[in-house]
Amino acid sequence: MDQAIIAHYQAEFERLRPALPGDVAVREKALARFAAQGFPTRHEEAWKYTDLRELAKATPTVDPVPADAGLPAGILDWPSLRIGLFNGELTVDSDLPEGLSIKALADVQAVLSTDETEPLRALNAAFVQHGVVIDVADEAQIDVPLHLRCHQTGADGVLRNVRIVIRLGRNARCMLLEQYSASDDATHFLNAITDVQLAEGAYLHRVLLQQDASAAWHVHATRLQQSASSQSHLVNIDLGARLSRHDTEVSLNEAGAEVHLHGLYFPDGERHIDNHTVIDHRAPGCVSRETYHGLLNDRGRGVFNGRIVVHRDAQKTDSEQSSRAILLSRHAEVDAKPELEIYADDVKCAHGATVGQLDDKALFYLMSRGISRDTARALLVCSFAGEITAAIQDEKLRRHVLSEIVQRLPGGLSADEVLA
Amino acid sequence: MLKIENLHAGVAGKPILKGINLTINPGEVHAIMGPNGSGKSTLAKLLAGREEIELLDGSVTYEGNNLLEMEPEERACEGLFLGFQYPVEIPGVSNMYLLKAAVNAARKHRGEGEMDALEFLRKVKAAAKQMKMEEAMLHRGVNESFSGGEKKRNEILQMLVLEPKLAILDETDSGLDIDALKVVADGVNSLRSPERAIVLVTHYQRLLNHIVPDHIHVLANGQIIKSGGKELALELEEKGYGWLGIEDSPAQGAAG
Repeated sequence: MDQAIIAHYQAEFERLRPALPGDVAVREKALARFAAQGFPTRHEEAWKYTDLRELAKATPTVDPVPADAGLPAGILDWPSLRIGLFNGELTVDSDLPEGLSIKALADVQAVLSTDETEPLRALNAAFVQHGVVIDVADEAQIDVPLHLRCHQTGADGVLRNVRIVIRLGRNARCMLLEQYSASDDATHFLNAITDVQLAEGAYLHRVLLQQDASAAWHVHATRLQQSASSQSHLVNIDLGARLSRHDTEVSLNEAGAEVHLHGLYFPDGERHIDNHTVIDHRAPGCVSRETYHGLLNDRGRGVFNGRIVVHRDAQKTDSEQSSRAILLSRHAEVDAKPELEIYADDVKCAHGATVGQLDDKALFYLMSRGISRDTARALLVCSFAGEITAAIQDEKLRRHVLSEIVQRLPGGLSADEVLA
Repeated sequence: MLKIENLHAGVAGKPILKGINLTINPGEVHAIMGPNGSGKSTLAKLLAGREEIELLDGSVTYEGNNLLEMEPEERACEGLFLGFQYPVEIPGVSNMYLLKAAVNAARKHRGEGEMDALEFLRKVKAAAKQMKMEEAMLHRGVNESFSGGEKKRNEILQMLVLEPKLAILDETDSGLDIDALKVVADGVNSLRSPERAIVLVTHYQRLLNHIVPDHIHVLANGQIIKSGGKELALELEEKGYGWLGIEDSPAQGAAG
């Protein structure tokens, strides 16, 4: 990487050094890791289809002091407990239910400055000050959904590093909407990491809604560590940013853990959306279900790479993966690839991947009932996307998310009316 | 109402319809019979506007207009209805929504406002009752996880709600047990009126025991080789298609 660029990040580090919480030696090590590798390039297999060259030439201000902050507006009349991360600044609704603790990242030394090998995560580890640590106590059932909204404003092209930590105790249960949004003019590079730990028997339903600004760079790694019989129900909806790269890495560490991962990516315009997922079966008798749908319009570009690893001791693994993509425009493009690595012999692993277009028989069926072509197409998109949003367990949120998808198509549909 | 003249059409360059002439007047019920692969379904789909079927020659006039120049949705809004041989499943999009969108598209086309919500509901519920479909099915996805028979009943339900001027029912009897066949036939019969025409496309005569047509046409190899009254069905029932010198291949040809 260009020495001047590395020097820029080093200078930013010196500027910020006095304010950085946690062990500075660990941060220095992370910065050195980043400096040694630089931004990933397309020569690396994991970045083959995603080009960061333009980002790698930039010299952004790193994590400037937030200009404004506030609680996010709620979604419709959805009752939720709001957690705002506005330009990094944390604001939390008062009156937390019993068993729930929400703290600023800087106040939880134990989770600061982790050892990272991957360069963008090392960059995050070197600089990160902003974020939130959500703890749910053993046996606690949090009935109100948490709505974490990470929102950026400003056309000043800053790098914003964010870290979210979610830890569920034994048999704890909670639902979280993690939403990423920005003002229309925002041009930042958001570099986020979400770390999730599920203790034995814990249950997390997490919906990720990525609606970053059309000129923003968006890189996000979500990592889950699951203990025995824990369950995660994850729904990743990627709609925004000029370029978005989302890694979802789930490690099923103890027997009987389950992950249900649903994803929808919808690049339109000139957007590029890359999803890399890894599900690591490290213990016997774990279950994974993964379904990814891609919708690609205009000159949109999508990447899906779904890796399933079944380690030698992970006997009786039960794993299914399916990936479907629909090209809505002849200029759109997608690369979707399953990757299975199986080292155990007594396992059930199924996978399937297809790329196609909207079903013309179904289009004709709708049009033969008097429905215009645009509306018929929007209805079929709604149906296809609905198979993913159906995994959102909260009905109001499910309808909201689907309407966010449908409003990006001509046809003037209201998802509320359409849904079965 | 409908005038088909010297109609030639095909799929992927292969001719299937080879000179069809047929006139249908308001109030009439026509049955188009024929063996598999004779072109029956191709004719039905062409009339409804399926793009993959190419017009090679001839014309179709519907209420004085060139039907084949109209978009499928325009044909529907002008009162043409196709009951599908294989109705399509559209998970997640509710039957209710489809019905409402279809009714209001036609009203908009006629320059009318949307149908009153209560009137719409009353109409749909009455149609569901008539087709012996539970109301809960209306709130499920379009044909989602419906059995073959339920899909066919849903087609007729849509027809009852849309009240088309010209209904073309493509193999609506296939896959129905005798009870369902009776329900479907009663549904179709209830729509018979002096202003409306119905075309039944079928391989078998049994539907015609329940919906008695005014005219029967036998289609073979892309042409109407015989036309007659309702008694023609009985002759076919007795003697089979072989009587007319045509083979009834058991193959489920794509041309249908």
